[in-house]
Amino acid sequence: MLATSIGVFAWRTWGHATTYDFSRLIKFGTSGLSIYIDDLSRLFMVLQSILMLAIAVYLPPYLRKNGKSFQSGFFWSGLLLLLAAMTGVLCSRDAISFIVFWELMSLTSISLVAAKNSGRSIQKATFIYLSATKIAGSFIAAAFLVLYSNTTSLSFIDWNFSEQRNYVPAFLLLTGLCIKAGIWPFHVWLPYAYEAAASPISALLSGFMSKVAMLSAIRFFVFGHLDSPHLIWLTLILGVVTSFWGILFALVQNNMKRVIAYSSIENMGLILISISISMLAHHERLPLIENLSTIAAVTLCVNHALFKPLLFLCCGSIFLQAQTLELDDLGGLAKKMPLTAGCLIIGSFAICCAPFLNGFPGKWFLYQSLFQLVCASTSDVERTAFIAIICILAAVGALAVATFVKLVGVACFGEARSEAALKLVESPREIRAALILLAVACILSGIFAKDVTQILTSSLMVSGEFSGSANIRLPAFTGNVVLIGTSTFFYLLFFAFRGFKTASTWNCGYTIASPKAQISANSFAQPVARIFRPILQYRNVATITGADRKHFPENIHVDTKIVSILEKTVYAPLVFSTARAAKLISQLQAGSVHLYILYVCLTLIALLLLGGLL
Amino acid sequence: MSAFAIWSTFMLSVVLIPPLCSGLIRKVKARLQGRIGAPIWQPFFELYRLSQKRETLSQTMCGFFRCSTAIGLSTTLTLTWLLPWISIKPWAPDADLFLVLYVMAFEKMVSMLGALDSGSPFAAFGATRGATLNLLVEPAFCLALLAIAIANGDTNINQIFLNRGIAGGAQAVYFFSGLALFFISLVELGRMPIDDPTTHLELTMVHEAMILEASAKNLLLLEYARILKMTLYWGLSTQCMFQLMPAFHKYSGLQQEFLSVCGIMTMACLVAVGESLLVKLQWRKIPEFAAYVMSLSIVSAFAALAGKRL
Repeated sequence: MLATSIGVFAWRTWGHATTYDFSRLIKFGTSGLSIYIDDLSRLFMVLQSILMLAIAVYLPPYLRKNGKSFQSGFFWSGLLLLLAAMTGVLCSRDAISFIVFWELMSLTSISLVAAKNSGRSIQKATFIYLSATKIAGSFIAAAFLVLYSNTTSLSFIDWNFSEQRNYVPAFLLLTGLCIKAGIWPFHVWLPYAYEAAASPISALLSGFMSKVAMLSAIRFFVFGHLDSPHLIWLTLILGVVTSFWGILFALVQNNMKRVIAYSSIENMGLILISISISMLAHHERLPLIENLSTIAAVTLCVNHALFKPLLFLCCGSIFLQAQTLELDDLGGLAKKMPLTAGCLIIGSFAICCAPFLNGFPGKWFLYQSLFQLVCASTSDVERTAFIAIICILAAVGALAVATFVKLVGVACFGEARSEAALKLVESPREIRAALILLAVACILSGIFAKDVTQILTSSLMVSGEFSGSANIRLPAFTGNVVLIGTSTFFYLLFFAFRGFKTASTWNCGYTIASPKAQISANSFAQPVARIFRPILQYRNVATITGADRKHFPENIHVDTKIVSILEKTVYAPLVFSTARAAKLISQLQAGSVHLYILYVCLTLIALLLLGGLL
Repeated sequence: MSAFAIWSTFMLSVVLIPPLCSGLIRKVKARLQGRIGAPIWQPFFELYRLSQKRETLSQTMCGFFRCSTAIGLSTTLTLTWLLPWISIKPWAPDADLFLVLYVMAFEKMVSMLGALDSGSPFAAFGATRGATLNLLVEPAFCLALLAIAIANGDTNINQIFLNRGIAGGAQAVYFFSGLALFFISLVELGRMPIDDPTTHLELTMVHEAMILEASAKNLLLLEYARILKMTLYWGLSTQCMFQLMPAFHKYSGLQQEFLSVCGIMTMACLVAVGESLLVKLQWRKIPEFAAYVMSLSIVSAFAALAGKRL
């Protein structure tokens, strides 16, 4: 209800930029709370309300079914608080309210992740998420402090990132936002948190909270005209690495939620690429391309906020019935849970940018702005770099196809691979309604992509910093009609009214093999994983035992291992050495009064000496 | 030419060229092996026979498979509108290069999912190999088309090929892109030296393994979509090569059309000769092949950049 009312409110007040001053009512320290709402935040409030509506419909049966591991009162209050905090972050225009809402958002989301009170893995995930968020928060706070000392103002309007003295805080701010959004190399917390959280929460975190970080980046750096080429190129490279890294790791995961979590990292990378291209175009004074890539960034945000929650909610629906999300235990869902499987397929098509769904427009704007940069840029090195980025994006697209074919193919098609997957039934009505709502939103915003883009453009224009129109001619619509029309025609012509025989699947002439003989998640990823084995640290060891082991094996054991290279070589030593340093320092606090008196004496002597020197 | 003549020529090309192309390959291969071989219109009979059969589906399938074959063919038909594979086209929509890229990706995704629907491990192996090949050549394909787009400063590829009179530097771009597209087609269509379309060894095949469960009308749609896709690739490559001939644009529409068809048939003959002479590459060597193709595309892209500079 609250979500809907926020959405309606945002819709009714469309077209203005308004400031609501609550400074007399609520005070944070010396500065008051003031909320500034423009069309961009309104747009995202509408989006948030769609998402929350879906989640609100979805949650009751989910909590009922998982009654043991959740306290529903706590869950609902946390959810509403998170909603309020995210709206607050979107609408705050000064540092103090931003920080307050940001921390509120972080803390509520952490408690929601931790709300599933079972198991050590959840504790671990929560702890990792907590530390990542805290580090992000401290980076942002540090950036704000430096900015305040530079400009003596806490209001965002007074911060101009094109000035040289603001580059350092810009870097800090960028790092903070990147940690929150899960950009490489700070992405390691993300799969843990999304996997551990309940599916509706993962949907909200991935669908909306990461967008809040990215939107803040757009507001600060694109609207604030960050003008440092080093930082811009750094952002661009981070974006490219993130998208490739994310999708590569998504392909080799075997848990549905982890696959989708890693693919979120990829999408964040794409958004970051568009943001940095927008900044770069501004730096090179190419306003048309700047506008185009800003639209790309916002479109990617909006559409990702629709199809990613859809995928997570599908996972939740499967988890409710099967109690597992391991791909190797699923299979044959399409027959038992047709609606969930259908929505999963729609979401997967959307994320792989099928041209009639909503994943495509954003990606097209991104490609187009890169292409126009190639044509407009003057430096050969830059042009080569942009061409290389386009190629990498094409490879990322191909990897996304492989990833989601694996996800859908192994989970939904074939035979059930375990007992649990054999006895599935379709989820309750409310859950289906939520899935349909999001799937329809995906389809409509894909087919009416032009209108959606129009709305986005106008909202960006009202938000100020948007000069002139971009050169947009989204090409998809006519092709869509041809595609959908002819496929229906063929289906009707050849299949709809025709009978068929059934037989068992071809097994080289043998009888029906065990369902375990179907392709597994690991074996689907194997050919690609082999190509990228240095990055993935991929190992595939087969041990065959038996008397004459070549021809009559008694036991075959295949072990596939993938190590996250970043966690192993960077984060583990870092955490380890921090822990050791902390231990060393903690020896100072020995609990003995004598020692403390010694410290006091030493400090006094040091101060006296200092006084003498100065 | 009148509108009616243009439409009918286009429709006839879509219907006739793919089966003839496939028949020609078989004929040439048979001749090279010392056999007489079936007549080149044999594929028409085969397709007709498939349309008359009754389907057998796997018990495991859930209905997606039947949709996937229909979607697959219609996506390929959409591509016939989007790609400049032949000179005469009654209607050229906004065929953006990136749109083409994702329509193709969609088609592949649907066909791979269709393969997984039956739960057959062989089909699934085919699908995972298909996904890998797709990953290997996707950047090369994108770059080959991108190079042409950069040389013309436009991403609408239908428009690009209608442009008369290209700058001198752009000829290298068309040559290398055309070459790259031809080799990419070998990978994408699973022809030699990547995959042997005539073996029937479930464990090694790519495309043939993916369609293992298809029969009758399903198989008809899949086969037709495949030969149509083959024609599209070779047509695209041919059009690139024709851009090298300044005289090409001076011909009338029908002459251009005739030349285009001849070009596609020449490519078919080349493939047939290649398939008779070459042996299949080991699966692990395929990334190397993809790297050669990629380097062709890179040369083309650099030529485009250099041309831009002049």
